[in-house]
Amino acid sequence: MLSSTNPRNWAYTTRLNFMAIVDVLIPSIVRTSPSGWTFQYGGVDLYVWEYLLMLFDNLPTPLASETSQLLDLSAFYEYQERYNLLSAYSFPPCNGLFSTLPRKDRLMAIDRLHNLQVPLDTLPVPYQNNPVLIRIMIDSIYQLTYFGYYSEWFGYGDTRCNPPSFRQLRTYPISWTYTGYPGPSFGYRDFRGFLLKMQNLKSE
Amino acid sequence: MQKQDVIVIGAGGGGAVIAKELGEQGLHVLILEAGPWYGNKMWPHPNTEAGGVSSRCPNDLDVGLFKENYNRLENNMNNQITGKLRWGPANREHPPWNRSYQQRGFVWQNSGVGGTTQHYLANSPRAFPASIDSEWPLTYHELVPYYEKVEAELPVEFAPTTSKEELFYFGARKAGWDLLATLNVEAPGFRPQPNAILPPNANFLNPAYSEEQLSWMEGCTLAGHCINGCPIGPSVDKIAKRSTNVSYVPLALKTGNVEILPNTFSYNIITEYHPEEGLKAIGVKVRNTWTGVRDELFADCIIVAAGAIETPRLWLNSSLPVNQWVGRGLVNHQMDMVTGIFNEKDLLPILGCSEVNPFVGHTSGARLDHPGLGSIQTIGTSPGLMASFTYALGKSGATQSEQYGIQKGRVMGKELIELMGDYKSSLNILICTDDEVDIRNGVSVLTETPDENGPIPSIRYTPTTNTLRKKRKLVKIAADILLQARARKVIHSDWPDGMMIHIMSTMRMGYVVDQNCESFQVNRLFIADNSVLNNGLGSANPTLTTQAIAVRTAEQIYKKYF
Ligand SMILES: Cc1cc2nc3c(=O)[nH]c(=O)nc-3n(C[C@H](O)[C@H](O)[C@H](O)COP(=O)(O)OP(=O)(O)OC[C@H]3O[C@@H](n4cnc5c(N)ncnc54)[C@H](O)[C@@H]3O)c2cc1C
Ligand code: SF4
Repeated sequence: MLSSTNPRNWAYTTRLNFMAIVDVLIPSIVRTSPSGWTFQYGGVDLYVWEYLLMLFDNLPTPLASETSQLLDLSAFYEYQERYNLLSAYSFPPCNGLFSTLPRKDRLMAIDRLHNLQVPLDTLPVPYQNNPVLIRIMIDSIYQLTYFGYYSEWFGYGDTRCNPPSFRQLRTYPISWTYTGYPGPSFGYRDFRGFLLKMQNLKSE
Repeated sequence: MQKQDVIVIGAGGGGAVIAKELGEQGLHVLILEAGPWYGNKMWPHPNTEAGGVSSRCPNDLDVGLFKENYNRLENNMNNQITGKLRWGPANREHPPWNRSYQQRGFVWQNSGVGGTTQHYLANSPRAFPASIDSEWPLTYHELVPYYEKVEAELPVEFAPTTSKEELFYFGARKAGWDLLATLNVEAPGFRPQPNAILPPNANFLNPAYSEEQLSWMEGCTLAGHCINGCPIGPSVDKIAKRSTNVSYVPLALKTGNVEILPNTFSYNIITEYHPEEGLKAIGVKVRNTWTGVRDELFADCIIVAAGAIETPRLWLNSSLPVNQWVGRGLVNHQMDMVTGIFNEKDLLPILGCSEVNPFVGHTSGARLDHPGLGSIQTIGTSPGLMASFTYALGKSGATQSEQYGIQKGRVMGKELIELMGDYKSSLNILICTDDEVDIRNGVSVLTETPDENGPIPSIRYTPTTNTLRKKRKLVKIAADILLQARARKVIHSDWPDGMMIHIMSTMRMGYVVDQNCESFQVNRLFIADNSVLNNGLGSANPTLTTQAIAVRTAEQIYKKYF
């Protein structure tokens, strides 16, 4: 039962690309807090890339490896422009090319896709000539990266690779400490009265 | 299964209400629901095993199971692809049901008994009277008794004040707005949300009870999980947030006349030609989502309450007569988000504490209504939802707006980390625009890409210039309130146009159905969900109005056919 969605069969380069994109959106950083310097784990350390891969493969049309190819193509155009490669001389982009870009350029490659500055007919199906789908997927990458990172995902520990109904909270999700969210609660007694009551309006 | 008088398709915001009303009239009602049923002994493991076939007995409801399922973890509950509250079959190892979009954005809906009300915020304002009186085949005055009935049944109360409402009221007052002490909104002003949430119980502040004990008692504990599904209460029918699975569904079962089949997708409406009545609906074709087994079920009247996307899809896939308004005129309140970040020292004199704590209290406890423009509403969610809806969704990368000194657009990297570091001192405001009906917006079906339930819906929406103008004004009002409340920073998310949370008016009253919600073209076919709304209600959250109309429709069905 537990093995029915085994998520661990993505190509190595697909994983690298997803790590690379998560690393741009939520990098590991050192930052100052009132108490001094603190290190904050980024999305890669908290396995958010795996979260994205699993979700994209759980769509009606699985899209994890197609999305990785999409990123590679955009990286390819990024390189072509950056290093003035002759556009006539084109070679097929290699798998994982996106992950070889420095952070800033990865962001440019994502923007390039979002702004549809790639020849849409060269993209893998179903992205080929489908600008709306490209944009929705870029939006989803942002949205799901943030949602995965700041929700309980990391706290599932090694049960995170199980099908959704077989995951359990194993540890305190590290990201909750970054926001101060105390986690689900049975209640809070921050009750400051009522500004209006229905019964006051009965005369209406 | 006994012979049915009525079949209701969908057990969500509208379907559960009409079923209960008809059950009380003594009619035999069968509800066909596509998704799972949480908190029912017939389905102890609703997401992993097929379980029973149907349930009709209030004793099947089990609050222990309910709490086990609604476990308050936001990813487990509210992930749109694999969450318990998603648009898809009960088995979460299967993908969600597909839709095709013609613009950026997505439709946010749930399947399952309770439908999308399982994670709605229970905000239950009435429509603005002017939005009904100008365009509907009914008057606002005619709707009031039905509003009152639903308000008493749910019941609806005004939200209590916690820190985030206090901060909003403070800002709204300073910005010059007045308190609006009314349910019938004719002028602008702020007020607590009228919502379907039970007030905290009398012992709420009594330290002799632990929070955990309180969570098994009747009344809201301000636990702040409304949007992830509320599990607080002593029994299924007394859960604090009144989604229809805990309000109208138990009442429907208590009539002894209502039976519910979850995991049952309706994919076709069966009609026949009758010499006196003309074309009339007589039955429904269904497919079990676990077994794939198909069946046909028959009744004297068919009521569709499948929501504003699936109801037109069902009409189109059943090849019912052509009507140019079927699926057309979709409105979604053209939403957006504006967020304030506060300094601790500025909060102290206003709140008596140095944090807003968005996770405390009702997810949405306060609002400002502005007839002619729309409304704005406070939102406080768990951090994953907050990050993804506030900072991920911008149309563009972050820019500083000259006009109002606020930041606009999506943020990432270090800036995101810093903003989320201020999670506890931030306040979100949702914009709900009074958007205009436009026949070009709506739902059609893609015959070339069917799923197991037939051609899938294709959704098209572009706001009108006038709608966008109103939205800009509301964004400005929200930003001003936050700045008046001394926000250090204000961020306008700048959502894409197709963010659909209040999906309405795709089978408009007066165009597709008459004022009794019976189809003009197919007799004995009624609609009882958001799709019958004739417009966007001026921007009032739609569910209460849908429910009031469903009560009225039940009366009309009984009078006409039984
Ligand atoms: C996050 C969120 C918060 C919201 N908050 C509020 C709020 O505070 N106040 C408010 O008024 N509104 C709110 N809404 C909107 C509210 O949820 C909807 O207005 C309401 O649920 C609509 O009711 P409905 O009956 O039209 O559809 P639904 O509640 O979606 O019910 C439709 C039901 O039909 C079932 N179904 C669909 N197709 C089929 C089929 N073919 N066969 C069988 N069954 C089918 C579905 O599974 C579902 O259970 C919110 C929405 C979201 C997403
Ligand atoms: S705040 Fe919301 S989730 Fe919490 S008890 Fe009240 S209604 Fe339920």
